[in-house]
Amino acid sequence: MIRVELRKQLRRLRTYIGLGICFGLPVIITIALKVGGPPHERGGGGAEEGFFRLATKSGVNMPIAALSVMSMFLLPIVVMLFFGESVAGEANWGTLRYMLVRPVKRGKLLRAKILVASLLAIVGTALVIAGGLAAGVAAFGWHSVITPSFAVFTPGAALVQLMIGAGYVVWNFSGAAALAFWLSTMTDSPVGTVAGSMGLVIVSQILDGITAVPAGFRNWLPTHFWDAWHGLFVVPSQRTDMIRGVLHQLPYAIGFLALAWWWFKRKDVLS
Amino acid sequence: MPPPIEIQGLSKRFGKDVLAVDRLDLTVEEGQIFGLLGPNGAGKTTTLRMLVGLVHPNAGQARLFGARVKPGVKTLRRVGVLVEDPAFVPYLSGMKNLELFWRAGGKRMNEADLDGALEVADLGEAINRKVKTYSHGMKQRLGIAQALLGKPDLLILDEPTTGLDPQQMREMRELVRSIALRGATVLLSSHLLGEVEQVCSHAAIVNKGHVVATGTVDELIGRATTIYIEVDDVARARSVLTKVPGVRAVTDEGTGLAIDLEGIDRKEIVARLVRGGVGVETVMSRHRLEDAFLSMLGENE
Repeated sequence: MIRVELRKQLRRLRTYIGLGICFGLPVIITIALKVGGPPHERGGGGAEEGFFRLATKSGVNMPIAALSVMSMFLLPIVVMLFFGESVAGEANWGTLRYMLVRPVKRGKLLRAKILVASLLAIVGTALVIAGGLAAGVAAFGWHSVITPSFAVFTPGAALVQLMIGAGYVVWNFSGAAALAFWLSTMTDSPVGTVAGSMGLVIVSQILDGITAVPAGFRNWLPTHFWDAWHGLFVVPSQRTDMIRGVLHQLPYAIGFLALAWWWFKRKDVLS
Repeated sequence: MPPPIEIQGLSKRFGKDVLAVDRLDLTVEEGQIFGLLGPNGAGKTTTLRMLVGLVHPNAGQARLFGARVKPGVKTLRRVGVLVEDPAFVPYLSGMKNLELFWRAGGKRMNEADLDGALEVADLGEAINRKVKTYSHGMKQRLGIAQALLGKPDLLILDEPTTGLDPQQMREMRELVRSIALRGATVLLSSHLLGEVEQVCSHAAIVNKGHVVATGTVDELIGRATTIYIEVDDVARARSVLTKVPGVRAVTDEGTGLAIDLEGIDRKEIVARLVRGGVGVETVMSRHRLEDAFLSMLGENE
């Protein structure tokens, strides 16, 4: 079942467009920086802006900057697409009913779809880093990394931190992705699932950005700890928020997946 | 040996207002080509969906080869299904769709009757084209081929000729008959009377979610209340028939007479005509199954 699902996804143009964006955007940003020169050396802005200011100092800065900027919006869209489309897409084509008239348990089908969507999410995130690193090193060379907090990392050490950060980024999508998956079991409109889950992400980010909203509430928003991995690039490394972020996603991921399971097992397949 | 299909008291309600299937009972025995006949909205498709585990019944149960149906039940291995329209992954070829459909059931390709399925699909080189380029007829044939991949003991077809042109409809009917000749039991739902009459050995007439009548097609036709006769003396025949109790109306129709009956057998009509000195050349149900169908639906209103 997993192989069947994987083969379906790997033959889809949509998969390659999504993954192509993940790889291509960091390359385009790098070319823009190379052609246009480094951004103004001015203070302020978020961590991602800081990474971009320093992007031309070393090619290894580019994947950090790219992941930083893409992990908040574009990468989640691609990931939500993989999860949200998985069941709803089959329902939309009408093939879901033919999958389910085989002697296959519904839970097994869901498991295969979650695993393949997770794999594509990991590959997408890896491609952001690969694109940024390949283009960055080609454009700006293999030098030590200077972070916005003026910490200095050897390229190898920076990459190790980046790998950990990338793993964290992927895990952080789990809550919203689980929501997308739940929605996917409820509808035959893939666009609706992406819109629904990205709606949660956007509303959460907006509320999180309003300081007047009580911190006790903002701390429970699903995107609150999404950028906590930036703490890996300060000295000494700040991982407390990352650990909280990892635990923070658990109730969302477990809750929405349990709902998906519960819903799909009881669902009347009418599409 | 349990029958291929056994349905007892099956009911399905959608929301508060729509009772799609209402305590439906049905048994399909081995080797039958069984027609599920009813107007659109009678509950045929919902019944078939419950039969293969796609829809959960609110009450009652369905059994396939003795095993109670629930999602993913193992006996589905013995069943080939075409529910409503055939559906495929549009960006894959017909061949790849067949392959992935089969593998999704956890089986290896060498366990499938691929050659037989390809013969049924009869798509030639088009089998390697993307399905999104197929016509409806091609998809329909591919859908039947897909249902036949596992050499099923039971084939369930929901409105298999919908959207086909007359030539394709005829080919589909011949295909269903040939599948049955191979030993498979076939359950075919249709709202087309002629289709059921031509293809099926047995049928159930379904209306408002429950079975109105069931039996062999001949038995169902026998319950028709209008017959058509051709005789050697129309005027004398009309005169005889108007005196027979149970004859509601006698009307000229072409070279013969159409007779509306109520509580009298067609054999009795023939006997009365012969005794009255009328030579009877032809006796047939005027609209055959259609007549039975409409008559039974009328009684069910």
